[in-house]
Amino acid sequence: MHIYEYLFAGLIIIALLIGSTVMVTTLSSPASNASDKDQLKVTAEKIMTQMLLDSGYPYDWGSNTSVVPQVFGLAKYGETSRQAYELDPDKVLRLNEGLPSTFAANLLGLGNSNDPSHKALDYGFTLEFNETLHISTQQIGSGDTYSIDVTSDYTLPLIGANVSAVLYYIDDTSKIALEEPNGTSYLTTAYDGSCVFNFNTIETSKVLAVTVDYYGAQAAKLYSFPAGSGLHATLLGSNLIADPTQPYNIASDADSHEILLIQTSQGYETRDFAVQNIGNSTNFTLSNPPESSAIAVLAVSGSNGSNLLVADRDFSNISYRTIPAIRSAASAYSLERTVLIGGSTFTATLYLWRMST
Amino acid sequence: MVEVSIQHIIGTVTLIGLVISAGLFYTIFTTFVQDDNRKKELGQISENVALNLEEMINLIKFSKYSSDYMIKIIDLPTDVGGRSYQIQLVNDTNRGLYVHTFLTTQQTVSADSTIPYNSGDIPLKFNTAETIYNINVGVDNLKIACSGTIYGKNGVVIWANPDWNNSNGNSPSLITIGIGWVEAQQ
Repeated sequence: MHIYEYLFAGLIIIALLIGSTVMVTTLSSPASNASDKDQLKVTAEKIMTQMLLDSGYPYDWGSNTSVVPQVFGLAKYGETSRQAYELDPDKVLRLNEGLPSTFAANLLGLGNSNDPSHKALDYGFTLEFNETLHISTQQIGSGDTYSIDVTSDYTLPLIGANVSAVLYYIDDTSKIALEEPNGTSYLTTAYDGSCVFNFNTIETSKVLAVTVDYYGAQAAKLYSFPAGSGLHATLLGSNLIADPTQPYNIASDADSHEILLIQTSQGYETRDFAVQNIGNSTNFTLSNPPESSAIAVLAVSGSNGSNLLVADRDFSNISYRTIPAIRSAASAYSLERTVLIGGSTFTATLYLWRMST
Repeated sequence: MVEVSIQHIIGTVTLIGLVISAGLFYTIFTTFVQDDNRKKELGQISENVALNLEEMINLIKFSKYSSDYMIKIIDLPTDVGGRSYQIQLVNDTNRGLYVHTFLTTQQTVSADSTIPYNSGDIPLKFNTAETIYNINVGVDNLKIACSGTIYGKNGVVIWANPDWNNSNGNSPSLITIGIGWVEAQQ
């Protein structure tokens, strides 16, 4: 036997070894990947359960911005009753207002998020909220006639949605007044997803409050008219936070009302109740936090009481990310749940991925 | 003649060494791959148990003034890659509450899953004592054996019990959760 024959035999053994290891790796890879994805799915369900069903602690960590939550949960806390998948509007808003982006990861047991390089994080996630029903309003002509369009998340017109609408406006005494539509307060959307409400003509600053009920999915929104004329602020806890471009000026004795969403035998509609304030002209604070079902606060603004301020909550831009620059990784698992926030139905989407393979 | 024999001896010994080395390497490699797959399966089981515990905690928090035991029977695989495994509830000062699963014969092959609920408002207690409970579930009277560490199998029981003593009336003062198995149905 020559040296070449030994070398050849050795090469065959090494080739067999390499071939076998490659085969073992290749054969086990699909099962391993499937196992990884299954595990990610269960982890996502676990995280989503904690975030959407637990109210966190302290229970008021949303409205009381001075406290840091010890338990992370977005559900609305009720002393006497609780509804599954009903979230606290202030807790959801606080996700974008001053809560550190990696804060929840520690509380949810997803690794040590205090490491600035995120190397100690086991998982990364993004939580987003999207409206289930989309409402758009349009003023027809110069009078107070409004066309209301209801579409789905995919901009398809929704036929048969139950819609109600009322106008809030400033009356002659600089107080907030209510104007109901002529005819019925409830209308059903036609084949094109729209319906038209007709009101008596009002010349002062006004807000159209619209509620929609579509087979259990609901939405409530307020629109200032003429478009772009009203003032807008964000409602967070008891505070009305002014938009930088729209500073308001509210007298301490100015009329202010909270708008509540009420379920009646016909559907959903809004009601308004006067609320007291303890703020000053540019930093308006309610004496007590608004009711949990409040969708907005209206207040008369301006030195002559001519402008109507709408303070509401916008959840459509909420995107809570453990890593601000990353919305979702290629290997992420996404999980959706339908939730109720501030009287409107939203789809909560969680993107969860592993930080290392 | 002597030179030829040495060449043969060296070549043969080298070949035999190569075969043994290749065999060893292959065994170590396949063991590593097997253990890795088993770890992933154990990870799935840990996550599944943790999810059920998490759901149970939330159910307890939703059920006001009920002091009944809540139980859920889940089916888990009887083995992982042909080997038996165990599930353990661990309360660690640094890591908090987590589910630890491991192979019975090789405890280094293990996986953990933390429970996201971290006892801020209502303290959570793992029941790790070996106890037999008789629990009425509808028309069935189940005899459930509980322990801090159990073997994985079909019919694993996840249970929770709220304690309303010394509570403020809105939520229980303590939630005890545990794992076990159905020993008998009477």
